Amino acid sequence: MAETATFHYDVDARSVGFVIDEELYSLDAIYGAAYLFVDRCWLFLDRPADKQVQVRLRSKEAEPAGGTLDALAGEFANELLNQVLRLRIGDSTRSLREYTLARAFFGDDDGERPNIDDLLAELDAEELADDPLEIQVPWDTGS
Amino acid sequence: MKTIELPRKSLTAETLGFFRFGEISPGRWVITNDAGEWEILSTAEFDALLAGTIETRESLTHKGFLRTGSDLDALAERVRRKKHFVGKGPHLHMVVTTLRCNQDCRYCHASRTNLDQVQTDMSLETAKKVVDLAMQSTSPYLCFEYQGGEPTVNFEAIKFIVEYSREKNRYEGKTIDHSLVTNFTWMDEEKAEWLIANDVLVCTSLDGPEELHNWNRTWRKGSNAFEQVMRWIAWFNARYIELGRDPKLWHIDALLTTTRRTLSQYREVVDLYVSLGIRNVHLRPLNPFGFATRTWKNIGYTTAEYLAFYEQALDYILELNLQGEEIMEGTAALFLKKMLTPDDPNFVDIRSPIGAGTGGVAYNYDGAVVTSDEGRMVLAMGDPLFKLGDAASLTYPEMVGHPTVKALAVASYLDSLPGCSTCFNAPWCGVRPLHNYMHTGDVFGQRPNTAKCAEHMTIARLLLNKLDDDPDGDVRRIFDRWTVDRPRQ
Amino acid sequence: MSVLQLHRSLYSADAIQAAAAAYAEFADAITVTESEVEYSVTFTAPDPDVPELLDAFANHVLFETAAARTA
Repeated sequence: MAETATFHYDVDARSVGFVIDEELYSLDAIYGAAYLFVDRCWLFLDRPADKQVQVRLRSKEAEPAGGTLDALAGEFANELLNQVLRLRIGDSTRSLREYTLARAFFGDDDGERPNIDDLLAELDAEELADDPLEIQVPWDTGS
Repeated sequence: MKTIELPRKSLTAETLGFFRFGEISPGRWVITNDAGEWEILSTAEFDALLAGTIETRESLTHKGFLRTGSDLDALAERVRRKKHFVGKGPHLHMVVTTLRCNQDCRYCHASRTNLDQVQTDMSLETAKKVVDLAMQSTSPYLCFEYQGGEPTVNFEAIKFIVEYSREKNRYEGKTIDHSLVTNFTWMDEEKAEWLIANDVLVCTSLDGPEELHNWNRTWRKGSNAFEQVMRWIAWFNARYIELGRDPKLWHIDALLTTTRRTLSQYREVVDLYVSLGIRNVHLRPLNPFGFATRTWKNIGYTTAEYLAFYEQALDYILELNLQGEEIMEGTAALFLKKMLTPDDPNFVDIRSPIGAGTGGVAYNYDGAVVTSDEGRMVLAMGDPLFKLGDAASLTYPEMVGHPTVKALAVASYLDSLPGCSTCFNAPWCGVRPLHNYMHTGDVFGQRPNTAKCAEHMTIARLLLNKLDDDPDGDVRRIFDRWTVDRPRQ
Repeated sequence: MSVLQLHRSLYSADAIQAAAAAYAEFADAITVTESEVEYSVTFTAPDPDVPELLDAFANHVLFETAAARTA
């Protein structure tokens, strides 16, 4: 049986308001969810008590149609839960992602792609510096 | 006080690779990652994936969505391939050979001038500087795209750039295309033969059936712009065949500008394109800036109206494909290339970061170098923000490293933008800082407020839903065809 | 004159300054003062043709705050 998340909200003629427990929903999740509604709502954040954030979503429509505000409240609550998931997945995969992107854009860190100075040093060490054919191998082709 | 109770999904994060997600239709979830990999899951499957209880399947591991067994180095290689464009310089070089034009289109807010304004022609000296600068690009592929005004009015500049770049390329060894966008009202057989002999790709503006085309594209009194376009499409296509060229590869392409009157005529427009052998209808909304209010009222539309039109047109194009016609929708094809192939089409306006200055550059008739064709329009409106310098004196490092180019890259890098960084569409999408700037004065736009966000989200959802609801694989076969480029050489 | 109060723990000063710069043309002056708990943003002679100026300003500050945390 899946766990349930419970949200309480107040509603007036044009807006809905939530008081959110910051212990359960981080500020980043709250910002992330709220921001996605800037096209439809005017948003105000306030702090009624320590560790609590009030989010008020006021419709940009002066007279929102019946049911619109309750639907809006549902969407916001849903998005807040999704934001928590997004942040947790992002946090737990940060090092994997950093590795992947570093590998994709900056190549290897393990010396598989030495720079030109390394190559020349290697050539010196192997006493191949006088071999014109080796020196003229274009070291950066294929990258 | 009211109460909402929602199921809280359980998460076993340590079993997962990085992915973004979104619900694309009720009960259907898409997951995507940096390599552009994706899967569509039912709610039950998505919940099981998050909880770490999903039955292991090869695709989830191979694509990097499950941690155990995934090959990060292989994933990195796919990311590198997807983002190949970040390691290359500008490939698209848009050259305005003149501002002179013999048409006065309703939607044209590029600075056009009348035919007697010869001082708005690009000089050959400037054209040489343009080629010298463009060919310093580190991109192995270049496309010179000739625009105007009506670019053929200054045909000498086109000839010079084609010939000079070809000569210069003997030492550079790049692959170079030349592409002309013309209204065909200044065409003659001598020019046409030269264009064919020099492999210049020719694209015309065709806004739909005669009445619609002529309404949009005002020409001199008593003349018929549509007839002229039809005449030259037929002439070129026949000549290509006479010369033994494959008509699938060599034919006149066309660009459509969507005005209010186009919205109800999508069938007629698509039918016309099919009848002319044109294989790509590239649907794009008008840039909604720079118009007088009265003009916008005549030709403009809301984002919602455009997207309703888009969906109907896409459905119709798919219907024709199912009947065997070979016609595709251009914006959908761009997204599908990102979704269904390991590559990225490097379309400068839909990528992260945007290609303004790093994927494409525009050169005004006077040699002003601008980040894009739209940047040139903004320059014509008196705002030099997107100007990078002058071809005569600008160096290549100054061009690609210009502070404006850097600002546009930062403002369009989706991983650093709120809303975008967690959006399922991030691997395929692109934002338009210039549009944001024109609407709000700030290159960083509030994503949910932008028309491009609505457009790109709608297109991605439409395509994913069609691929998801495709029991016989018919849609996938058609979409796969749309992703195949047919090189002419 | 109109005043908008924004809680210090939820909105950043940089975000408010960025919004004030973006909205400068919509009031004779936009000034920001701060108390222990709040920033007070005062709009002197706000543009009467922009009826929801304070609302839009608050959205902009939210956007700037979210952007700074994402970058």
